[in-house]
Amino acid sequence: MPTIVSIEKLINHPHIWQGADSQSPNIVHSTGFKELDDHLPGGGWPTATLTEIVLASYGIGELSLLMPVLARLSRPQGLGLAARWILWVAPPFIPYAPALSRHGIDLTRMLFVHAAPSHQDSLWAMEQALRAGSCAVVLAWVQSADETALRRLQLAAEEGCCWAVLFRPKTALRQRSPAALKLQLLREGEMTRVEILKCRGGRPGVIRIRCSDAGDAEWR
Amino acid sequence: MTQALNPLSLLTGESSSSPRDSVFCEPRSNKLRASKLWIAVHLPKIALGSLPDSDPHEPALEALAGWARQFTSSVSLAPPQEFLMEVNGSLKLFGGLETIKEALRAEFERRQITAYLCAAPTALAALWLVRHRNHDVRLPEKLVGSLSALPLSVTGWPESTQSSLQSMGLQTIGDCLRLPRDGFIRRIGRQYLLQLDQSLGGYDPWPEFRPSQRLSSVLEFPDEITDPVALACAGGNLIEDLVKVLRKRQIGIESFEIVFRHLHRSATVERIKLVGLTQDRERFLRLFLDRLEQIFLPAPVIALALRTGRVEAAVEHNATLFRDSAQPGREESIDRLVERLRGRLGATRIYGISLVKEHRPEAAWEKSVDLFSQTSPGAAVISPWAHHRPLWILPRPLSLLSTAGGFPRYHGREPLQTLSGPERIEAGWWSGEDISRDYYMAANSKGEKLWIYQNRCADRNWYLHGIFG
Repeated sequence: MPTIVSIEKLINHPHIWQGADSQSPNIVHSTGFKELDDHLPGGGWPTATLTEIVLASYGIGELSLLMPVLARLSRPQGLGLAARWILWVAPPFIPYAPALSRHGIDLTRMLFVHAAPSHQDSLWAMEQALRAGSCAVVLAWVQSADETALRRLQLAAEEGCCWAVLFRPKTALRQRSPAALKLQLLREGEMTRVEILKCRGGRPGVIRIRCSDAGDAEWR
Repeated sequence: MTQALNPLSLLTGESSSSPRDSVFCEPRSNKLRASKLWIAVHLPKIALGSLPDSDPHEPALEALAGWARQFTSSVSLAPPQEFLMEVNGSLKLFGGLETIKEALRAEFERRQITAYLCAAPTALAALWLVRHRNHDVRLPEKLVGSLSALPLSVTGWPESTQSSLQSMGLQTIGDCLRLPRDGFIRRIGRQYLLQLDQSLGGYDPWPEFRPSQRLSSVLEFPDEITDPVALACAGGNLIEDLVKVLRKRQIGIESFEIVFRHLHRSATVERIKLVGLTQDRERFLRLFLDRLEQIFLPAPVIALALRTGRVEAAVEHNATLFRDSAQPGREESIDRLVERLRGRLGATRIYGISLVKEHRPEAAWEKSVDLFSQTSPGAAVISPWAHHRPLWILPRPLSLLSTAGGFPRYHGREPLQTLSGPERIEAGWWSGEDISRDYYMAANSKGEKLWIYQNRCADRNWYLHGIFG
């Protein structure tokens, strides 16, 4: 005989998985931009996952977007814990120390892998760093990476509890991606337009933010 | 030993001596026994490299000093050209000083190495005497007389010290010994007075030389091998054996070499460097496998050898109970990550950056390859203008194309729009790398924000120097 069960009781059943509740099983890092925090599930960049950022050209605020979170991660994390490292793999130009420092980044926590002989080497270095668990973020600029490579990075990020940020050229737009978050950046006048193409536990959308070229004094 | 503990007390404590006391005072007791006898060996032509028929990684001086340890356990190095041996306890066994010196001379002759020998009751005296090609001094009471005649150059003191002594009219060690002690300390320096005391029998410690140990083992194959899996297994076995020995002796290594021997051609040698002293099997194995993946072997391999670098007593850290819970665990793993990345990509490709106080934008930062010696963050040296600096800088400024009107353009046909500027930077004239530039923040039609400048001297060309990422 069928019994009538209230919907509340059903929802609270432990065997029923709810998408909305598992929105933020991870710790997130605030992006430093309120509009973006509001849109992203959990209110910030997802850690321990892969984030893909697609951009057609450099100089459209792609680094400024990350400056607030990098500044926070390069500082001691409280509870007596020193900051973990921030690794840059194969950046297209030289990250300029005075500007980074102006944005409040502790340069002693930065580590660079420059001019890896091939993009396989870059992917290898990125995967090693993600798995090692000693880095908070690994930023990498890779021209081509197939789905298998991306999946490996995603797994390595989960394993090492490390945030993987992969900057991709525009050709990556059509590629299927196992990344937890995939963005496209475009310049719109003085604003940077952030198109959220894929967001695990969240929804796609378009957000305009104003990235400052000058560092703010907050973190100094 | 008795003499070392009871040095000529009148020579050491300047507090007890009156200001008129000279550097050397007459000993209260002349019944000093020669409880030590040092032979100094001076090798004027010794090369920095290794000896022809010994370990290629062992410096020649260390190899010879190691050989000399057959006569006495107490051998000390005085690099770059000398070593010392204390032979008083060995005289009876080997049949006297002359026999030992004969044996030393015969060995140096066989190796065709020029060597001078001299014996004295103190190490420093022997060293100074041998530099002047002097005769042996066996009795302590003769020491003062022999040393007094030596010129100041034998001491090896800095040029400035020697010249200031000479300008005071002092030519020999004997002249120095006649000076008042307190005056000598004030004008020349306490450390030099201590050296004079040492040479005459004061407390004179010399660190004992211990020859470096290296471990090596070889695995010979019944056949020529090309299969990388077989090589990996063989290397794994060698590493396994090495780690057993390291653990048993509680020692660690900082580097090792893998030698792939080929038939009829010279061996392929791969040197692997570790960060810090270790005996960790996993690290050896990972570095070895990474390297194996990378190298090209010109021929099949008939034997695989493993040679360690210098072996030293290892201090093992306690393992952490909770992964990533405590700071030391994390620091260690960044070392290892860097070690692995460098192992595969090359040491110079992994680096940190730091600020430099400098107005020229390209010189305001530098790479630091030595990552873990960095001290506190250099937040104090941010220049007040740094808020106009881009996050990306180009390795060298890129000459920009111009439009028909003479305006610069980049990634497009339209001229760049300047957003701010100019900021004039003129610097470096004192070092011959002078610049004189007007910097602007500019954007193109694609929205790329750029940092460009116009040369104020000579060509007046436009350059791209940075990108506001």
